[in-house]
Amino acid sequence: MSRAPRDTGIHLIDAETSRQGDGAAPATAIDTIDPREPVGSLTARSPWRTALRRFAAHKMAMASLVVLTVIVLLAFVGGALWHYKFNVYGNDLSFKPGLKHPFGTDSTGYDTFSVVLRGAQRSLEIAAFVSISSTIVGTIYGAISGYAGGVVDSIMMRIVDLFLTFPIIAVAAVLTHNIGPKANGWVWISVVLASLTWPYVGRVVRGNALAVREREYIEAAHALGATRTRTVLRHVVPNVISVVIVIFTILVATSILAETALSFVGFGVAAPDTSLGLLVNNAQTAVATRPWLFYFPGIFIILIALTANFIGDGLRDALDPTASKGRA
Amino acid sequence: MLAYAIRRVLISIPILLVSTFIVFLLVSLSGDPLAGLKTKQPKVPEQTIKLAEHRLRLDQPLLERYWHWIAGVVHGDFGPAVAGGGTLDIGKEIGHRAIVTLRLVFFAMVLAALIAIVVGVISATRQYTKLDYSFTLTGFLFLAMPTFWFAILLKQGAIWSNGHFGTKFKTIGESSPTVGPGLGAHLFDDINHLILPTITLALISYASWSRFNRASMIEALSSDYIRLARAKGISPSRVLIRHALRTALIPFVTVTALDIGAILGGAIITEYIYQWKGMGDFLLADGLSLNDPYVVLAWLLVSGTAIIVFNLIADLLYGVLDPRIRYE
Repeated sequence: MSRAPRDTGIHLIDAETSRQGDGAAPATAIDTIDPREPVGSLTARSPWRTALRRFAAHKMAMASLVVLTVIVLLAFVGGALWHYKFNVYGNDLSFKPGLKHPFGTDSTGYDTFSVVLRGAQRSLEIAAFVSISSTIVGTIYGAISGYAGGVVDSIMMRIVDLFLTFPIIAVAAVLTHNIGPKANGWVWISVVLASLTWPYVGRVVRGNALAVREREYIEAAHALGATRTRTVLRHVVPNVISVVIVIFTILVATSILAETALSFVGFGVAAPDTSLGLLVNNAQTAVATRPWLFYFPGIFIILIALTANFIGDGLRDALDPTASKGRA
Repeated sequence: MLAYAIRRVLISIPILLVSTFIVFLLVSLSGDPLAGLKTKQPKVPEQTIKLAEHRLRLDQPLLERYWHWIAGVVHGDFGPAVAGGGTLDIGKEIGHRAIVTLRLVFFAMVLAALIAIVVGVISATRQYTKLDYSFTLTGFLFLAMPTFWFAILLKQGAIWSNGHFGTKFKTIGESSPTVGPGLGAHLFDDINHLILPTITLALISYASWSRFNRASMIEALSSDYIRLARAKGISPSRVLIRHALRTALIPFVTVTALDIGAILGGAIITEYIYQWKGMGDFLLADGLSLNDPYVVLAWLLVSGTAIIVFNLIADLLYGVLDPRIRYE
């Protein structure tokens, strides 16, 4: 029998978490050390504090956290404060990036900086929606499947297999192409992407939940008369949470890449709304003459995905219970 | 193991069937393939529309249409295509498209695997050196890179180079419509068309693999049998290649197999930008844009089968390469 199935498709999750996903019980520290209880004369450091310290020591992750925060602030607050509006054009046509227009302007006179910020806002909203909802659904699904085991687990995993035969971009394109404009634009796209990404989360979480299920504290919970719902929510989920957090950050990167790709080929966010992928698409014809229109939205996509991945990397190191404690 | 493989294939068939059924419903319900014909100006005669409806089986109930399709596929008939007005044979076309995509994917994956192995091994042996850090950074950069953005950049670079240095990179299509006589000219032309898309796809794909390979190399290098091999006085390069790399490649091969399966459905974005008439283009242009359920289903059959087969290959390879794993 093949144990703990590996996941397909999303490279990021696959490559980065499968080592943890392969049966090693995550966050063992949580149940072995009680932070309130002094051990001998030493005060035990809470596992979350340890994780925080380790994360802070991860330079790239910390730098990424700062950069991502700046981007998010720019996208959601900066656009409103900036003196050019994304939907008001001016007289400066096809300006190169300069002091007046840091990212230049396009041929109609729109300020690229404000347009890119607007696009980043939409892309970030979609990425947040997708990663949060598919993480929640996938975690609960995976926890139930792994905890239940047996026939229930088999059926639930076959459903996941079914979803995994759907190639994300293709099925998302089917669903957004005709229904998207009628439904509420970006929310619909987010729902579609989320409904296609949760099985990846479910699979990884299930692998971890399988290992958690065999542990003594689950047995203890049973013995104390905990209901199944309580066991899953209060005991299984918290003990796979470190894996989930890492998956979440990687999903942010994955979903922003998926959304922009979808918008780029014309099946995602559509005008008059905008997203970073749509902006790159619009700039395709201008790449030789007004390359700044093409560079900046792309750089924003890279920055968001890159920082999310680095934060995920830092979190994985920080939350890995098998890592040596010496790094903090 | 044979029994295991057969059982896996048998489980996959219903999954694939359900998957085609869902996608059939989605495409059929999401839009009218004759919308373009019906709104055409000047108006198309009622009779023409009736004929087209009959040809596309739109005059039949939904479930009957699906049943017809299934019955047809068994006999090698993939249903009528919207595009081409009855002249396009989906079965023939998808076979042709699959070969085009295979050509691209094969070379790109070989290149990506080679880069990933070399980078992974060097990073692992020179862990925490400048070289390792720069490889890591490059890897993360390509993980965060939107395919479409990178592909356009590369294409633009090639066009620029063609103009300035007189290089002759082909940036459009999978082959030229007119090529000089002789097999050599054709071969040269095909290879020239392959260069840019292959580089794009390889660089986009290698990153997660190299990270993965680095991790498994580090794990292998720190294990006891490597220390033993070194202690026995085996030459360092032999230890590295015959002992460490061989072990590290086990998970690597399986991850690669999974990803290749997922990508065989068409490197949709890469094909889109270099205007290759591959599987991805077939799906987008002839399938989704025209609301043609039969094109989408044919595509899903091929790509879904590829995913399932490569999943199986990955699992079986795992068993072959790692003698500790037994399949019942």
